[in-house]
Amino acid sequence: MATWNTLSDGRKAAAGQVFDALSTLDALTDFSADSQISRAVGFADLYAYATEPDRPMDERLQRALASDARLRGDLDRLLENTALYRFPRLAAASSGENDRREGDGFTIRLRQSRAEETQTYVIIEVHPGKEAPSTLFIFGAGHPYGKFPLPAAQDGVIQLLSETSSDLVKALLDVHTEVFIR
Amino acid sequence: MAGISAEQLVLEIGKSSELVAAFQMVAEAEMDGEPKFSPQVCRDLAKAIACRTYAKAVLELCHLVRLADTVAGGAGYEIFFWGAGLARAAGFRAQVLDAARRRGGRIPGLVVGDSGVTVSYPDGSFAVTYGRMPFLSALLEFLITTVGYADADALLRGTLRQGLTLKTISQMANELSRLVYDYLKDHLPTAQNQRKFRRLIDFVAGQAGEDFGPMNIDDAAIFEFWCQESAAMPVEGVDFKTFPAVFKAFVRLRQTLACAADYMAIENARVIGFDREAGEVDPDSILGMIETVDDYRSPLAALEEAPADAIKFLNRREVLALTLLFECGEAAFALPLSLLRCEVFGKGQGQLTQALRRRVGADELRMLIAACAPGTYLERNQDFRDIAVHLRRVLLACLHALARNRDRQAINLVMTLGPDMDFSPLGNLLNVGSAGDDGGGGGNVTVLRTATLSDRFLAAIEDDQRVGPEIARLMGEARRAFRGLSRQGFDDLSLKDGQIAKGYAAGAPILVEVGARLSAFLDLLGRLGLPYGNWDRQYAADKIAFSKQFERLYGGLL
Repeated sequence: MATWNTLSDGRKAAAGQVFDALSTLDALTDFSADSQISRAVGFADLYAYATEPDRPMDERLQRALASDARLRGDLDRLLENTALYRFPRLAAASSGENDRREGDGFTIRLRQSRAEETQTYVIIEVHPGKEAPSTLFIFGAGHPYGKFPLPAAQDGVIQLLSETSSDLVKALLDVHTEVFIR
Repeated sequence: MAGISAEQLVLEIGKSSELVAAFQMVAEAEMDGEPKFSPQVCRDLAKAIACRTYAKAVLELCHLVRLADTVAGGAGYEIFFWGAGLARAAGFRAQVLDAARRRGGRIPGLVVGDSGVTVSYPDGSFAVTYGRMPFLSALLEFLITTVGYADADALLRGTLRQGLTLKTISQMANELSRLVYDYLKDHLPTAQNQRKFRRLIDFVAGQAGEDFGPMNIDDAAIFEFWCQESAAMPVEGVDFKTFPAVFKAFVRLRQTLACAADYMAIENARVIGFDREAGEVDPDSILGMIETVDDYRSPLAALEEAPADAIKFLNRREVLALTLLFECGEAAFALPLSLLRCEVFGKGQGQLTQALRRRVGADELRMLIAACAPGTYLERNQDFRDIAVHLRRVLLACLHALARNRDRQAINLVMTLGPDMDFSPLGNLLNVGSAGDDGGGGGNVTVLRTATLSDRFLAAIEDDQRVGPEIARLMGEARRAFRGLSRQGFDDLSLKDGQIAKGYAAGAPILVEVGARLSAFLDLLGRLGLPYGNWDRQYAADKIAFSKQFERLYGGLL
């Protein structure tokens, strides 16, 4: 069996690298015994939130997004990548409010209910040949990552009835709000 | 120990906590409440990180990402990795085959095969096997966890463009590898590990002289090192506070020195890009040696992999009880007392550090220091013996299951479980006479005869009139063992399940290996010449020594 003195400098260096690799392997895999860390938010959580209509923004995800700019950047990019369509902010409009957004294949309109003045219809028109969305995401000041599952389209139209004072209606009226449908 | 805070005593300096947390996220990723990646895939990923052998895998990943997006019909690669359940070869294969079926049998740009998929490019093609996909999926998860989805995606999305060549994909893979390299450069604990290596080498050289070898690392040296170093202030990020950490470091040093002969091969290897004069070594060579060392733990790991994992041969407590023994491999047999110290007093120290994390009061801390350990050496010996008994019971149950399924593994197991049995009654049963009896002839005779012998034996294995009283008794024992186990896979209904049958066939030889190693270790523990004569007296003496050291380490916090 080789002893330390019989090893050349090159082999001693190699021994150091093997020891380093084994020690790192231990450090990476020895967490199970005394793991104290509660499971952090990972990409799977972002993916589930972005793609599952009924997956809510739970407190853990909310906290993680609030404290981690990179995670917010990741979610923004994921939503952009997985969206059917992205309605950009209507920065050109000067009134500050807008009740209609036109996009390539989709239109979003807001219409006050005739039966109940405190309520507003959110109407999404799906143009022929376009896949109907199942979720609507809104991003803007005061309502980051708002998510709303959508009912099935009827003859190319999706309708949601919401309180006029709701976050959804306020956000859609706000020209600074960005909207994704998926 | 004045000047060291409770936090310092709890933290293991030298670990890159961010890297460990990132890896932990990958290892603990779940899909529908189950671990997304198998333990073996996670271990392979850890090795690729530790040995920095990720470059080839990153290239494969780039091709797989293109493949995944093509399978999804251009809807993004993400669905392939996160939208379809656990990362298993069968799952990825099903996604590909399903996509091909929906598109009339073929996917433009891909050639779908039985074992994998080939991605076509104008200047060639690249194949990715289904078996490789779970590992590449784990690598992607690690990449996204460490460098972020936005940065990784910025590069990966480039692989989806039309008209790309093998060469351009290769360039993109290099850029992605650079991202991983930059991250690991800042997060791998290489410098601390090298300093730790130096300290251990200096210690052993100080004790045994410059011409030392693995044989100079013994129980006494490890204990002395821990007593000497654990209470010292950390130097340049290196400390040796816990006995388990010290034990593991010496085991790793021992293994490193034991495979020193293989370094000759490394030295002779000519790999472009590595400066041998400066001591640089090809990462693949390092990985080869790590694989050799890591092979010791493979039996336990194999029980957690399909198809053996369909059956609960060992529960979590039993696996945990055997883990250190199997991780240490041959070193466990050279350092048995240290292993027991680790299992007994190391656990006691673990309780102390947990208590410090919980910021317990002085009374509880004082009590833990005085108690020193949650068990004794004799109790730990008994735990090993109990598991050995359980293993025999499980093997008997396996024998029943294999015999019922007419699996030829049953024959090997009969020989293993009853090597001294009287097999003479089998003589007549297996006397098949000429080749003509086998219904075959010519070149196939031997194969057919072997098969027929096995079949005859299996058909008769539970018939005491034909196999004799000893084998019949063993089979009765096997039947009772099977019925006495109330764990997943040990019931008559499960035996009809094809996956369970495969699980028994795969699990039985592994359990034989586990049992053999455990028996050898128990045998060693039984005849070990201990410094204090027997396990009782050794425990009493060690308890005084550990308690004194714990007092030095943690008493200042009272």
